[in-house]
Amino acid sequence: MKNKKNIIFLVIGTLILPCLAVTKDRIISGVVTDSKNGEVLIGASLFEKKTGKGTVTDNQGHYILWIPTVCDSVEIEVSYIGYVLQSRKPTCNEININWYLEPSSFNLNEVVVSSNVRRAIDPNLSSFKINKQELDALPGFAGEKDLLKYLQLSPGVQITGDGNSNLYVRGGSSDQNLFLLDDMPLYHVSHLGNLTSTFNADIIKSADMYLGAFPAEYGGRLSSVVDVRTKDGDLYNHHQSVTIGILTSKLMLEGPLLKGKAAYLASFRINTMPFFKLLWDMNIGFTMYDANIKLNYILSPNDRIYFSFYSGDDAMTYDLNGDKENFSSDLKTSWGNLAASLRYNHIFSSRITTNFIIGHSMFHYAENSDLQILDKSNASEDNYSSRYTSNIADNFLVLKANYSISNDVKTIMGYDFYYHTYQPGHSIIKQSGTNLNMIDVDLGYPRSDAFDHSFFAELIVDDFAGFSLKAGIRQNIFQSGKTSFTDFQPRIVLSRKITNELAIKVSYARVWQPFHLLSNSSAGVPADYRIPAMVDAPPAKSNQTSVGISYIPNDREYEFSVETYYKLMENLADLKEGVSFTTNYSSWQNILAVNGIGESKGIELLARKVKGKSTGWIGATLAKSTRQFDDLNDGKVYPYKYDRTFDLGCFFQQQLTKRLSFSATWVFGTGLPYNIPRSQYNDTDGNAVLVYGELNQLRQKSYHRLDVGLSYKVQNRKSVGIIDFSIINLYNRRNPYIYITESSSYGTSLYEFSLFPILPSLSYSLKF
Amino acid sequence: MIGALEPQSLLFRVNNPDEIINIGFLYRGGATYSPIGISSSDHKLKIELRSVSSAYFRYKTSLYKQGYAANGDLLYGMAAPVTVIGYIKGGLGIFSGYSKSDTIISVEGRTGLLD
Repeated sequence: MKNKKNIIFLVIGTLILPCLAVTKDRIISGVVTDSKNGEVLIGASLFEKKTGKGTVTDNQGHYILWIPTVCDSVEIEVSYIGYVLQSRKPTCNEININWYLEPSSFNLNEVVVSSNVRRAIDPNLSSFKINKQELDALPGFAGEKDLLKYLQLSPGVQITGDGNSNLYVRGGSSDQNLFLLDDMPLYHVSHLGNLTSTFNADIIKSADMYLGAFPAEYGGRLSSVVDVRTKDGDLYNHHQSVTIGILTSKLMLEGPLLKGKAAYLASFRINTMPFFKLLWDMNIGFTMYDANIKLNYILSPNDRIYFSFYSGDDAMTYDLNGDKENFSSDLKTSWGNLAASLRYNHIFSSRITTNFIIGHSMFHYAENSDLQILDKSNASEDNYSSRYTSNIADNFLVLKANYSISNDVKTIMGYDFYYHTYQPGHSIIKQSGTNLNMIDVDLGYPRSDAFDHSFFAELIVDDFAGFSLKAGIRQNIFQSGKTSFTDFQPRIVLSRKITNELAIKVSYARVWQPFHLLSNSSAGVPADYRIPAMVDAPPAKSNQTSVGISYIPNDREYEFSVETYYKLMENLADLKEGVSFTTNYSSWQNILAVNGIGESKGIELLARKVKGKSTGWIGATLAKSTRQFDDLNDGKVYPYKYDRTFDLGCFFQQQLTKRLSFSATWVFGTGLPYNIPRSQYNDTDGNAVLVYGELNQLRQKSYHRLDVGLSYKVQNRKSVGIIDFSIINLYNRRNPYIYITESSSYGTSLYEFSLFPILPSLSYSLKF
Repeated sequence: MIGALEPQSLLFRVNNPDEIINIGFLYRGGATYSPIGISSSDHKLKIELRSVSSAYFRYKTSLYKQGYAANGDLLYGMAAPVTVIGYIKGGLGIFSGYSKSDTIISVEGRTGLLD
């Protein structure tokens, strides 16, 4: 009953509240696109010069703007980073204006000189927007521009260290991030060794990250949302691009299917060579690939259909040396995501736009081994095989409607439904033959299904008597078997404009996560379990409050912000001490430490330059993050595994000439916690017993690294070639990766291992 | 030692003192492996059965768990360390006693596949 009431309240509230703000202006609406390829531009800003009222385009490039009814004196200006500013006066009868922005040849936005720029406050807090030009300029590992590496540099995201491209946001763990690729949730977003993420930077159009103050349309994860939108494909011309790099090689094709109406984009990425064999001389075969396909069709000016597909896999094969005639083996570990979605975007009127999305997403992990032993002299044959799998699959449906009341008042409403299938760990072992006993066993945790419903609504009031408000509610219902959980989640961001350049913001957000990730892996292979919330381990919840001050000078060339937050996480689950969860199929109660509490607080500073020949930022974070479980560390509070007290992320990119650009990143972080035995003794049986102190009390030495990159563009009439040269770890810092102790007769020694020395790399890409 | 076949672990609890328990285990016995099979030489096997207190049982369990956790590798990552239980004030470990019975048997060396 309580749920129903909440939902009714939610619907009525969002419908009635906005009606209080009625306007007499006239409406201009339309779409903002790139004039060269027809790509819609997300987040382009439009404003009316006289009143200073404005808006930004949505994910479909659509906008609606109320302008005064007077003719002639009204002028609309449209701007977007990397494009030439446009402005014009609409005629008296014009109600629909589509804008075709010209990409600026110098890759930078001309500085806007205007006495009356848009004055509204950005209604977001705890969010970070990517600048595609910066991502393209990022000095990448082996020439790979990686979205997650870029996001790791922003304040609030912990610098993880080498060989880890997961995100740890404001004291959260890596499973607490919701990654959406064109609305498809992806579960494990790193390729082998975490050298690169599953997001191919070439096809990313926009990406937004939320670290707190979550918009109501997102839910299901505790710590962050990364919403990635890919390019739609060129509506007018065909292009091909080929990139050869040390780590991966890429192929991208795009072009019109029907000129101006339908387009395709396909990209394919594969590892160039057996990297691990060469770099670390490991006897492991390795392949990885990912493929993205996107199709879109403009049915009418008001209807558009999108299809997105992603498939990515990693596979490792191991060689067992042996007598090839008598012995054969096939050992393989593989994992990957497979996802597809279909989105229908319909504009009912200039005020109401809707999106209807259906899709499927699955993450699979498998370890397969097959052994065959032949003995020709005895005519015997023996076979052994084992299959271990751990999967999660989602089928989903999302309905979203945006309703604009005026330039200053907008609402978003919607419903999403996920049907999750969890198959946390399953083994089939078979053995047969002349010399072996017959074994045919099927072990593992049962498969479980869950229904996950969410209703959400949000009201955005921009600039009302100096205040801005973004208020949302989200009602969740999660049902797995006979167990069901519900949660009502209010979200709010309230901003107060102090001057035209200075604003103070306060936010609160409650989120939950109805599944738990069990993992003891910090690197490499994702042999993890995702299990649905259950009576003993209810959904994890987080309440987060943040306060921030933002200062954006009038020319909007720079942005400065200071933010402080407090986050309390409850019902966390982890593995109990020393539990081997891949082989021990006892009940969850035996292996789970439940009702964990996580506490995280911090201050974040950001100074960012967003326009001009040089852009970049300095982000600093001072934070503390802890965990407490009754079953771990004697019930005492201990520092979280990825707790860095201070970290600094700097990014700089400079357009040197028309063809040459330079970029650099520098990160610094105080040491992560680690554990080593403090002493040891031998018991009466002669076993060495290691004595540890409390959990995570020691600190690694600090981490810092400088990466630089140079990018040179060679432009012919028909093609563009880009040579990327980058050096990772320029001053060859030996950063700590793992600490190990080893005892000998001379005593015990502590060893520190580093992963990456100085690594120069080169990549070449050709677009035609 | 490779592992227990039955009971599931060689550390086990007896509920009824009259219960008859079959114990099966695998051990390496100095065996060497080649692609076509395994061979071992003649050796003596000492089997010791201990009846222990609850504290000793928990001590041994946590000790084994510590060993497994410390043997994490680079691919699967390191598990959090396990503390071996102890209740000696100002000292380490536990105070405990047990009764035992043992036997030594001679095992012939073998060549071939395990069955």
